[in-house]
Amino acid sequence: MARIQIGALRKTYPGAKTDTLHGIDLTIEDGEMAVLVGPSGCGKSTLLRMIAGLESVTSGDIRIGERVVNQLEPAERDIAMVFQNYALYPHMTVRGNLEYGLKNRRTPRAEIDARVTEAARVLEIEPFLDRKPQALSGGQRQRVAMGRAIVRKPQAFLFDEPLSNLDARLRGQMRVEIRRLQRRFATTSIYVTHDQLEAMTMADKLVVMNAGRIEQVGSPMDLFDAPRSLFMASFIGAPGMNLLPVDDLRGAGVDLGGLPGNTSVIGIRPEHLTTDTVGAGIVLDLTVEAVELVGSETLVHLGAAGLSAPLVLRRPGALSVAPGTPLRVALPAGHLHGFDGHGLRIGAASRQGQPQTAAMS
Amino acid sequence: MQTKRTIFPNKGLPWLLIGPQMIVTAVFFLWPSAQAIWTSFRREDPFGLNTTFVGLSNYARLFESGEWLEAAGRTAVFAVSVTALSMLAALTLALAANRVLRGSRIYTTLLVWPYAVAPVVAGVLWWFLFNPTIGILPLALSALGIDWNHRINGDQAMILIVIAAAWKQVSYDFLFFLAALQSVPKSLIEAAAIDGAGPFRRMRDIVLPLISPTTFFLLIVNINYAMFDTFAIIDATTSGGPAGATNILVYKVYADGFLGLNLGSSSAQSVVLMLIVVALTFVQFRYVERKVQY
Repeated sequence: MARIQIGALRKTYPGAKTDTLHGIDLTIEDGEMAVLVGPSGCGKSTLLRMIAGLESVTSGDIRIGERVVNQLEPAERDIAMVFQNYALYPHMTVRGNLEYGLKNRRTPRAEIDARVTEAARVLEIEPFLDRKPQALSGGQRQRVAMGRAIVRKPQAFLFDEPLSNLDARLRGQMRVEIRRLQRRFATTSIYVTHDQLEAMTMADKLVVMNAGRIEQVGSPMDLFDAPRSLFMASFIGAPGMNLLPVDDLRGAGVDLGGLPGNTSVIGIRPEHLTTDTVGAGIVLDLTVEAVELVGSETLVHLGAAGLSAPLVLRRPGALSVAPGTPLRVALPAGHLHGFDGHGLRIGAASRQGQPQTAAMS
Repeated sequence: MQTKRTIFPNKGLPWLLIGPQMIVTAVFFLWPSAQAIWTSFRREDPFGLNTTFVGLSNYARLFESGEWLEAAGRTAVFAVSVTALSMLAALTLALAANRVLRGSRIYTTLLVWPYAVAPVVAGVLWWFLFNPTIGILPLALSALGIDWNHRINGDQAMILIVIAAAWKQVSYDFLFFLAALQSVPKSLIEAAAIDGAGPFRRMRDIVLPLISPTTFFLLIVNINYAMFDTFAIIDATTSGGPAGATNILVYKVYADGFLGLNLGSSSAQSVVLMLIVVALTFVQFRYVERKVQY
């Protein structure tokens, strides 16, 4: 069990023109589950692999517990990693896979057996212990990969997109299961994913990365309620926040009321758009372009002349409107997010961490 | 894996398509083999004027003669040495090439060149290098106090043909080993590194088991090569000498048949060789299929 501290960590690949990571500062508390999320190429996997010792450090520090581990071999860092393709040893049985790390560390036989039995029981893989990975399903392989991490009782678990090879249903199950196991062992964990649903549901601490930098760190709800930038607003949430350039709205003759002068983009979440326009602040006249019925909810895509991208409105349950229908929607002032000309949240610093309060009123 | 099946509307076209291959096989393999089997039951005088059917006596004489059994023993030594030397050298080179990040294609290309050299030319090359009179290697060896003359020293002659034959085969083995090494997933090596395995253990526990199908395949190919495909190299370097020290089975077939003109015995020997190939391949593929699955 350990806290992981990363200070001014940079990574430059030889011959590359720009840095892959531009000075990352991050602290993950003991027992915490941190999820690194971001678009592909944002450096999240590189960061994880540097913590694991699979990539060298260009500059900066990585501490696991009290030790600076920059120069240590992966084996000496006391971490366990779950790979995207599971990386199970195909020529060894499940038992062999679980034992390998312990054998290399000269763990006594009785201890190995005890730990493997315990892990197999927790993960419900006892019936497969003498099979080869080839004979297992994707979900079972995933459990074995988890088991290989658990038996080691390491200071930290590192997960590199472990669920991306599973189908949607299984992914949902494993998500809950990994979180349950992580809580049970209270092991500090870093989890890399590009799936923001996974990120939102699993994280204690959500770390959103973009282009080699940390965009925002916080609890998932903080990040959802108070995105620090336009990138965050569109990245977190599915579908992302509706973003409307103020100039476009003014050009269309919309009454914007009293917005702070430096507002260049306003945002509103699909679930906060309302058709109840009585006494509302900003009102838009739009046309239904498309309707997506998901079952439990309905997504209505709305467009208008002068708007570059359609707005999305989310309603629980089924809503029957035909494309082409005109629809008047309101943007309740309490749910508006404002962003300035640099794409940064207006009043971000003071508002972070306060759920359900928007930047403007 | 799914196999795609084509259904032909009539029977003529498929026969036409496999026809050329069938003809080549018949003319260059089936017919000579049948001839060899037939001749092995007969005794012929050197001028081919008089032939008698003698049953299995050619075979009986073969297995009674110490000469043939000695050649068989020599062949075993030769085949094992060539296989071991070429595979070890190829694996070492492949491991090195696999580590190189830049310019590995150049190494690969250069290492493949020996395979393009004709066997006789390879033989002549080594014959020059090791030539006791004008060769550069005997000169170097004499500085180390080794008196090299493979024309009178049988062991040295054997070493010479082993090196020449192995050198020729290294390229082939190298390509297969390199492909096998590159197909070992990187994440497995990384997982093993995190699991506390150092470079030696990763090699022993992960890499070698994972490339074992290739290793077994190469084992078969190399033994077959050493036993049956090295005629040209031996002919160009030692011609089976001195005093038969490098006279392996396949060379003996030629020597007895075409130099000694004992066609009956020579045919019997080639039939025995044919049976050895069949047995070797069968046994090894059965073994590979059963053991090297994971």
